[in-house]
Amino acid sequence: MSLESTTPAALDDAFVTDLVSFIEDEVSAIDDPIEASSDLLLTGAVDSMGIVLVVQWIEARLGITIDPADVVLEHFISVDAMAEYLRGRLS
Amino acid sequence: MAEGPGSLADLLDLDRLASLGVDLDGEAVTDGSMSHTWHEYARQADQVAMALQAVGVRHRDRVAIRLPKTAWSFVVVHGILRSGAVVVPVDPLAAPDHAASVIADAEVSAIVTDHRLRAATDLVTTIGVPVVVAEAGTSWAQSLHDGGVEVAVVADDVSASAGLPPVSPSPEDDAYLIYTSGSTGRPKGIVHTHASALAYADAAASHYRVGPADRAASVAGLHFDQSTFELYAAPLAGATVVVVPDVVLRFPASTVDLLDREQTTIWYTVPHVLRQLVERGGLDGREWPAVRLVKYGGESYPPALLAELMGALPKAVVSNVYGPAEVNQCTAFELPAPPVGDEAIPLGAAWGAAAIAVVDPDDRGAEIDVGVGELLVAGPTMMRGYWNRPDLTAERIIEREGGRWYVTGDLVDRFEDGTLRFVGRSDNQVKVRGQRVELEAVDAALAAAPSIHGSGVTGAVAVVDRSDPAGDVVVAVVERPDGSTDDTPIETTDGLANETTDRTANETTDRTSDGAAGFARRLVAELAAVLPAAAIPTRVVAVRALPRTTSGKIDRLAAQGLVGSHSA
Repeated sequence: MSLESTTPAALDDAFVTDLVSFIEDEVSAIDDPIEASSDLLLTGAVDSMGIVLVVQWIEARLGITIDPADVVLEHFISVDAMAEYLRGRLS
Repeated sequence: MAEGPGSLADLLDLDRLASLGVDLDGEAVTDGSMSHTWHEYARQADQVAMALQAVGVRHRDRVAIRLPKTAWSFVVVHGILRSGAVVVPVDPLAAPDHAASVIADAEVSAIVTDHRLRAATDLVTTIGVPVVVAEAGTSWAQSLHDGGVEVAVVADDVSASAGLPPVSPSPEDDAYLIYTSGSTGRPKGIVHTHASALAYADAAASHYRVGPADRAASVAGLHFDQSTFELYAAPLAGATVVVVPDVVLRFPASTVDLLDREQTTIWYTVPHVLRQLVERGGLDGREWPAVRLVKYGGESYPPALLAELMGALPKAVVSNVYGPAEVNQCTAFELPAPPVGDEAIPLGAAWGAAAIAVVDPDDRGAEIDVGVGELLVAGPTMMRGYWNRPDLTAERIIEREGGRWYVTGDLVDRFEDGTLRFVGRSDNQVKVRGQRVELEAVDAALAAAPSIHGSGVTGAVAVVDRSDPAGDVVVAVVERPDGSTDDTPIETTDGLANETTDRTANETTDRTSDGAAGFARRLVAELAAVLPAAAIPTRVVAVRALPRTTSGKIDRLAAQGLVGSHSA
């Protein structure tokens, strides 16, 4: 695990690709492939525990802390939505 | 009160509702984005009923509903009832195989679903029954053929409900089936009749004084028996339902926001959900002037955490609800004040609609007035039986003193004043070196252990490891989602437990000061201070996520599987 050594900040294409892979490989309970725009919630790909894992992954990757009050449906419905929320936070 | 409904199909009868003082143009059901008045609720339910009749559904047929939980799913449930059919809710998030096994077991005549779920899983053509695609907001359409099955599309059309032939289920007709997974894996369907469902709805509405001013939050999935309060007791009393959609429920902060924004007055859910709302939802940062009643059930609530919840909701009465789905509810305990100390919250005494008996499990004729025994329940809220399982029904419903009694399988302690305390499942009573151990008692000690708090542990459960040739032992499984480990359970053999027992010390491979071993050692030491020797876990296994049931309860059997597969 080299997450902690990753330098913070980079919210680039690699972030999105890596987050999609993380969800596909480590979180999703279903077989369907996932894209950045996929609705992760309606399909059951990410359940409530999955959301906790995703938040932790993002926090470790970016070296930030996400306020629980920000962990809301609109920000986490898809990887694209997460990236948009994070861009707003980091800018 | 106006004359009561004869069946669940009458709950949306507008004349009856008007006689209760309900404003029929007011909100009957909402999910925060879609809202229906009572007029719309009744009209759209009739349209669903007509679509079902168009594909051949008849009185007493069973109809599966597999829809995301929204206000619309409530309309569909009442539509199925209005057609005279029996509601079979299927968890929309369950694996297709599970959904298929429920649908097959219930021998349904039709499935109501939406386009997305239909496309995602090909349940329909494999089972070969009609499918009704019911989505709010599309236009009414006729039934049509698609892939060999009959399809009807439903939506709101003011003129379309005129032709619904009257269907009046009798009180003894089946009304709904609730499936539980059953410990052997084969799903078992609990059958409630219109009479038993109405008896529960009536008892709940009167015990909790539910009325047209109430806005009851619906948190449980429709496949979980808690939802019968919002599905049936709320409309019986003319109360509005605020549906928490299943996608919203995954976000504690979004859920808190919906409960607040919609001015909910009654909540009913499991402790796990309430704990999430406190820990991650920011519940204690709000005022909650409207919340007057919080009911919880399904599992015990750690007293310290319940005190925290009650501190955040000073105006709400909190009620501990007990009752297996087979009887819906049989006791209630309203807490007079936030709990102090670690003592488990009582279940209370039998409520108005139930008779209870505490008996010797080996001689059910022998009633125990004070002390521990097995709980039996009788009353009008009891199920008819298990669907197509006369063997199981005969095991669980017994004749006693001329009445039908449901054998709960729960051990309770009856106090002199008649109140009950939960002791454990009779199946969770295990023997360790000849001593009886209730796994629930170990759960409670785990929940209260100081090491559990502030260590990133989000859940813990005691299981029995039957793989040790020396005899059964208790193992603690803790959930640490912070990923301090990889996916493999870390397993720490701890010497302390062995020191307190007469067993030969195991090879203690991991007594160095690394974090996991130190945590396990501290935890076991804390448990050793409060539990009898036989009940002290001999190992602590950390997992990133504990298996939970669809209702959020920790799945002890599945957790036990994690331990067994990883035993030395």
